[in-house]
Amino acid sequence: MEVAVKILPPADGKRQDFKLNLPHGSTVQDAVDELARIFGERKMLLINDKKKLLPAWKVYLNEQLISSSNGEYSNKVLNEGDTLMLLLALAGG
Amino acid sequence: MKKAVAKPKLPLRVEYQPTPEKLEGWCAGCRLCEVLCSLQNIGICNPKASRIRVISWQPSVDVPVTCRQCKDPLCAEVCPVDAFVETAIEGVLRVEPEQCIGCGACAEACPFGAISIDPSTGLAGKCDLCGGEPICIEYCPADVLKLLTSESNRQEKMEQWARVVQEQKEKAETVLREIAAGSEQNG
Amino acid sequence: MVKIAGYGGKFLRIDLTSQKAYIDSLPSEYYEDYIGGRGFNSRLLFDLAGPVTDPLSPEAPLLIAPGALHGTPVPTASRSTATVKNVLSGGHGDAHGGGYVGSELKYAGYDVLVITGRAEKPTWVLINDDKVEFHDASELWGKKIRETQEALKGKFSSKKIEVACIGPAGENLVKYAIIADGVATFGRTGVGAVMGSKNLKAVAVYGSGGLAIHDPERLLKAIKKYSEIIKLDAYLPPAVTYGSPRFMWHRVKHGIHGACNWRLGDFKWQQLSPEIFREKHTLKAASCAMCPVRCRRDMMIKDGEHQGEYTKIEWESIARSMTMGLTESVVVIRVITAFNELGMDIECGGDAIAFAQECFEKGILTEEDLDGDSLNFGDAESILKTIYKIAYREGIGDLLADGCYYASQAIGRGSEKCAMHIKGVGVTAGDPRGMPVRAVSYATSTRGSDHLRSNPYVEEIATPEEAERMFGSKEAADLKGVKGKGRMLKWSEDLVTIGDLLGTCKWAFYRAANMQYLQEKGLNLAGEFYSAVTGRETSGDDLMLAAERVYNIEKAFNVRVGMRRKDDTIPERFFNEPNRGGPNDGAIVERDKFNIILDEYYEARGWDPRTSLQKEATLERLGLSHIKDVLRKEEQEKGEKLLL
Repeated sequence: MEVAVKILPPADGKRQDFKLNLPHGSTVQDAVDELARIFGERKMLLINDKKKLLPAWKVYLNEQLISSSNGEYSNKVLNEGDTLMLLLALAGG
Repeated sequence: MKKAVAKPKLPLRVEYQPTPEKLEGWCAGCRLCEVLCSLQNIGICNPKASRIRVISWQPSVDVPVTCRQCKDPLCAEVCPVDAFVETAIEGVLRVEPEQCIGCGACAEACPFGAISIDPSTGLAGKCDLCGGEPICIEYCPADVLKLLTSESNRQEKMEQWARVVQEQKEKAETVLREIAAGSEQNG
Repeated sequence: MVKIAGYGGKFLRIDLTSQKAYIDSLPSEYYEDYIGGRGFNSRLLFDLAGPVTDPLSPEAPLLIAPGALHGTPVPTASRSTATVKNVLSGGHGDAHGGGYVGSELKYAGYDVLVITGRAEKPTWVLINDDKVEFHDASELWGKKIRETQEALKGKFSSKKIEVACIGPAGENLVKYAIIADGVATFGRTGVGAVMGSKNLKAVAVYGSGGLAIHDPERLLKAIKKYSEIIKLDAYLPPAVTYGSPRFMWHRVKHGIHGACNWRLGDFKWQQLSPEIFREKHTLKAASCAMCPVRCRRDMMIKDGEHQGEYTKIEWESIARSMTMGLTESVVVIRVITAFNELGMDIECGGDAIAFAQECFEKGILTEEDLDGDSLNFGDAESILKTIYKIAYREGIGDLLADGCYYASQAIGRGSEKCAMHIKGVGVTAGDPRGMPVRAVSYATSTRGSDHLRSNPYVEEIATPEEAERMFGSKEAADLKGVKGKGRMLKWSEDLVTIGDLLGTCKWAFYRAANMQYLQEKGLNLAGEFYSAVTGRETSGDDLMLAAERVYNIEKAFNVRVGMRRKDDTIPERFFNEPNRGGPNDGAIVERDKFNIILDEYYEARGWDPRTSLQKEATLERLGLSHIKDVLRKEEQEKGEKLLL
């Protein structure tokens, strides 16, 4: 199945839209793993050494926030056509 | 094993190579090159003694300028004490500080302003490519400095220039036509 | 003279009244205790000004100090501090800029410049290495920032000088006037008004000397390490792409725009999106000195009636434009250009105009009060007109030039509720409603409302485990949490203060997308850079201690002028009126949470939670016995406790 991912602002400063091809029954964490694979050497932009998304990334599934206020996200099962958005909820000034 | 490098026909030099189609492709004006050049070559951070300098004007223009390693260098030609000596890199000269008397003739002769005069010592300096690995290139955050010969990007440069020429000619043609049309009306 | 690698070693004092300059040196322990930049200034301000000093009097000092690493190739080391007795709060005041005057001062041999006195007529000063010249500035008086910079730089054909100057707003003593350093700005707390009060239009600097580096190889290695980190820190690649306008996404998702005088969390932001500024207005990715991140942006209006107008734009100026209700990028650029060229801080200025707009909306101010004009949120032409009236102190502008706090005090009639200030200084950054520690961080800032005095955003990047280890509670990593937040705030205030001591950037050095990088850059690499440059082995912890020392000096200064716990607060609106619209709809700053965090913060600082006064043991621990002695002496004179 195809899942769309939007990363705002683009973690690598370049790409913000991704299409992931995932097996049916894949979860948010599977999508994160796949993104980490795509980012390769620069996967540290997204995940920590436990392979979880950094707390700074807030996760939205079909516009619904699925991260809690302490940065953890629920590992929901994804469906065909879902849109996952990662938002770097990080201010600066 | 290192690959054998063919000897360049023309001397190498540090060249500003922006990528104009990208907003991030220009010299950002951070001046790291100036400070590192002076640190590497005279041992202190002093941009005024740097052999590469960034010339800036508003809004948002920054252009690094350094020695073009001329084939017939005017700096060396006018030097009264032969302080410009050869380096290990073919065609690249450096200033021998022991010989330099600080007369400034080289700085005046250079058409690009590429000769630095160290304000602390009064002596001349010029880019000698840091012995082959220029520190400015190594650390440039925008990656816009390249080690080139005058030939290496000639084709590309010619094409760029040709486009500018074409645009200018087209513009001139339009202006001439407008003037002609205007005078007809007035006439 | 102190000879430490990386420093200028001298101290320059200029007295405008007598038109004399004195070259001296700082006590050598200053270098160890206060490191540089804001550290030197805060210490000197404490000695040179007191509770009764009028910030705009001749004897009040204007201090400019480059960060300790400014002038060296350390990444982002581009920042200097200008310090004054805060024109808006009466307490400690300082402003920070990323220009070249600071490094030029160092190349001329100076670690601090102190200006006192008042020239009889408009004057500009040239610092040419050891020579200081006083010049007539009557031809420059009245000129805007860019014209002044160009006129002075144009006088020197063979030398590249750096210029710090004021615009008309500084001349007219607008209480939030800026000092411009090239295209960079010392923005806050009225530093430009202090310069104007001295009849000083500009300071031009030329330094021919250089700075020694103790261990260049170690320094170059650390630069490489920094470059590696910023490629992997998600906070920074977008900065190269979008510059600071990228923070819009953060405001949108949290609904914390503070639009229309800090009332609306939902706002028509779409025409001010980072994409719009990138596609339509950005000229290129530019940078401050030595910065590989390249988030500085000159933005231009590329078509239409105002084609060709341009100025340097930072995110906060877009944010304050929304506070004034603006929704179009072209208008925003025109408004920011006006502020920048007239030489005024858009944070305080934006808050002052938004204050007047709300008063007009509520009928507290009428067209009659506004010189016959209306002043509605989002109305570009009336906003632009008001900006000019402020800079020249004409009509209603005369009142608004004192900032929203003083204006509301003069107007009365319930307008006080519309004045969004902390300690007299206009509110900055995002709306703190729903995020209690941000509210507290704005309140505890020693220079009045400020979001850059700390990094409360640590709560967004810490994992629960990190929060527990560092701040004693997992709650510190939870946006809604309370426990551990006070300790986190204290830690983050000290952390970012290091940036002001060294002259490194609060974003590129003191923000990161995870704790690992934040500590690696802000503590370990900061210590590594400082040690490599100076040869004085200094750890991140040593820098934290120096930062804490500096923060305590500033606090002591504020105590001397009468500030106590009651002043460490935020506008009542944030406690009482819910945020309107957006994801944070209905949120307020819960007063009990605010107070619990503030208690814990004072505790962590070693200050008395009831009064906020410092404890003697705290000052002793930090080696600040001189500060203690001054407080004790003034206690006797006043008959009031200044220290516990």
